[in-house]
Parts: sequence; C-alpha cells; structure tokens
Amino acid sequence: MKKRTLLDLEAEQKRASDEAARRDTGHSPGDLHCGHAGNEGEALFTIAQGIQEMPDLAPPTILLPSIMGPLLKTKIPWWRRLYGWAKIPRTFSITPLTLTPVAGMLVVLITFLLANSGGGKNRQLTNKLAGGRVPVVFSFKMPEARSVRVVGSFNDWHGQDCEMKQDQREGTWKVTLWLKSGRYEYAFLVDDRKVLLDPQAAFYQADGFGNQNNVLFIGNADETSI
Amino acid sequence: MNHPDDQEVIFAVLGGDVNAYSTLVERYQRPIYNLMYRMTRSYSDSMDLAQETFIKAFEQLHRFHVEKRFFPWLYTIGLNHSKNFLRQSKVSRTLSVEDYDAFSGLEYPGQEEELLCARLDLRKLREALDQLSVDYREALILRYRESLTMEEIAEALKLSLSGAKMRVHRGLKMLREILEADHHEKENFA
Repeated sequence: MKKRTLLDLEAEQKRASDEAARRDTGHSPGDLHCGHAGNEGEALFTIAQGIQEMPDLAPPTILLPSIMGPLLKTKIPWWRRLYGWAKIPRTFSITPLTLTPVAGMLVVLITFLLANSGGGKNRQLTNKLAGGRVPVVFSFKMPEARSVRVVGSFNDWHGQDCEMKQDQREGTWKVTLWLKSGRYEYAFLVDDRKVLLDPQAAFYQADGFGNQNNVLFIGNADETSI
Repeated sequence: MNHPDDQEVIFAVLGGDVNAYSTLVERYQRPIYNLMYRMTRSYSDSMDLAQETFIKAFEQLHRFHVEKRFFPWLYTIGLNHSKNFLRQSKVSRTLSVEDYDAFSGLEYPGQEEELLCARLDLRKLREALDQLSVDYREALILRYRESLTMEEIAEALKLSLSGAKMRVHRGLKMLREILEADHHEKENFA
C-alpha cells in the first residue's frame, strides 16, 4: 500500500475544505471568479474559500522542545500507565484448531457445573452429616427447674456435656446433640436429682427397675427419625 | 485536520512511549499556536499557551476517547485554556491594522478587486474575522481552515449539531456584512 506523504494529506485537506464550502454555500470552487454581485451563495463561498487560503503564523521552532522537554522528564504514575495500557485495544486471532481445546474445556466445565448445580441443600446436609451424625434437638418445658440435663444410652446415662440451656422467655430447656443413626433411650435429669420423662416423646420403654425411659429412633437424615 | 494514524500514536503514548507524543505536537502545533495568537495577539503568550495546552492534553490523554478524533479534543482544551487566560488576565484585545504589520513577511494577494466578483483581499478578511466574536470566528476557522465536520465542530465548541451549523452559517453571513459595509464605506469616501 502506498504510504501517504504530507503533501497528499494537505491536498486531501484542501479537497475536504473545498467540499465543505461547496456543501455549505451550494457552490463549487469553479464559481469563485465568475459570480455576480448580489449572489449570496457565491459571496459566502468566496469568503469560505478566503478563510481557507488565509496565511497563518508558523509556530516558533522552540515550541516543540519546550513541550517535549518537561514531558520526557515527567515520571508517569504506574496507575496511569496501567490504565493507558488497558485502554489499548488488542486483536486476538482464533482458528478452529486453537478453538477446539478451548471449546472442549468449556464443555467439560459446563457439564461439571450442571452436574453439581442441583440439590444444593441436600449436598450441604450430606456434608454436615459426614461422619454419620445428625443434629437432634432435645427440649423440655419446666420454668421452675434450676438445671436440666439429658441423660441416655448415648452418654452412658451420665449427662456430662449434655446440660440444657433455658430459654428465659419460654421457660423451655434445650440442647442439641449430634447422634449417629440408631435406637436410643433417654430421660431428663432435673436439678441433678429428679429423673423425668419427655412428655413429647412418642415411645416409652420400661427400664427393668420399675421406671420408664423415652425411646428415640435416629434415621439417616432421610426423615426416618422418630 | 485529521491524520489517520493519530490513534496509533495515542496508543503508543498511552502504552508508555512519551516520545511518540512529539508526533502529535509537530502535527498540531501550527493550528494551536495560531488559535492562541488569534486569542491573545501576543507572540509570547501564544507560545506559552500553546505549550501549556499540549502539556495539559498529555496529562489528560488517558481520559481521551480513543475512538474519536484527537484534534477537536485538543482544540477544545486549547480554546478553554486561552479563554481562562484572558479571563484571568482581563485582557481584552481588539485588532488594529497595525497588528497586521507582524505579518508583513507573509504573502497577501495584492489585488483590490470587487469584493463579491473577485478573489477576496485576505488581509481584509482577516480584519473582518477578528471583528467577529470568538465563538463565530472559531467555528468558521474550524470548518473552512481545519476542515472539521459539523459534528466535530459541535464537539469542539460544546454545541449541538444544529447549533454548530447555525454558528457557521451565521458567522459567514456576519462576515459578509462586515466586508460589504467596509466596501461601501470606501466607495463613499472615494
């Protein structure tokens, strides 16, 4: 491709200016010398043409070094250089051959995401139950009690680390234990001396000493707990 | 007043090549210097203002929209800068014939022909141009001297497109009226 010279550019500029004047005034450069007085369009075109041909001042030769001197000494902040660099558009070429591995990776990624996107809650629950334990909330309403523990086959009837906390507003004692699936017997130890049954429990069983215990069945987090 | 590789030069400058900016300075120093001279009528002020305009443009280059043309953007900076300078120095200069003596080394067509039937006396045209307000004068310069499109003039002078068209057309008519009045005045004296 032929490289344009400064003269070409100036000629182009002249043509553009002629064209602008012709469009704005409705006359062509050929009309310049042969108009009639009173023809407004021609007069305006002549003026436009005159503006274009008006001589101007050549800038002093020291102007360029006086501008570039300080600029070349200026240290541009890193953020401006980064911002400037980021503003430069860049071209990327993609051929089918280079596209294939990328497309393949995209398919694998999308498939993986789709396969793992469903049942988020269940997955969370499964993660929580890693180790085969599920949370079981024991609750016992007795506002007048000073302390309540849950004792049972899951803690060898000792009640250690199973002290319940009272909800002052409701007067209910609560504790959450993580238990494996299975069958458990339990009861509440009130003020460290009285053993009382859970009135909300569905099952009871005699303990062989003339008393009864509550029975609890823990399933596999699939709503088989009772 | 447009160079197709302005954008490439700007990308080079933005990429950290400060020296590339000299291409833009060389390219546009003439119209900017002349703008400053039209505004101030002082060589030293024109020099300072042109220098400051280019430095300001360099500092703001990261804000320039690279898809647009550089010259109208630069021109806006220069015009605003010179207006601020005049406002601050409260300089109000009017043109006198003597001011043109500075141009004595330049070529003027010496013909004194009929205004509307022949080529214009460029010296008179310059005098008439300087009687216009800055807004009208610069609109005409941008249109016919720097060959900017109406859209670019609108952008450079912060006008709507129709406002820019009106500014150019009215400017031309005002210029014609000034030239005609001058012509009739001379006829009456003769």
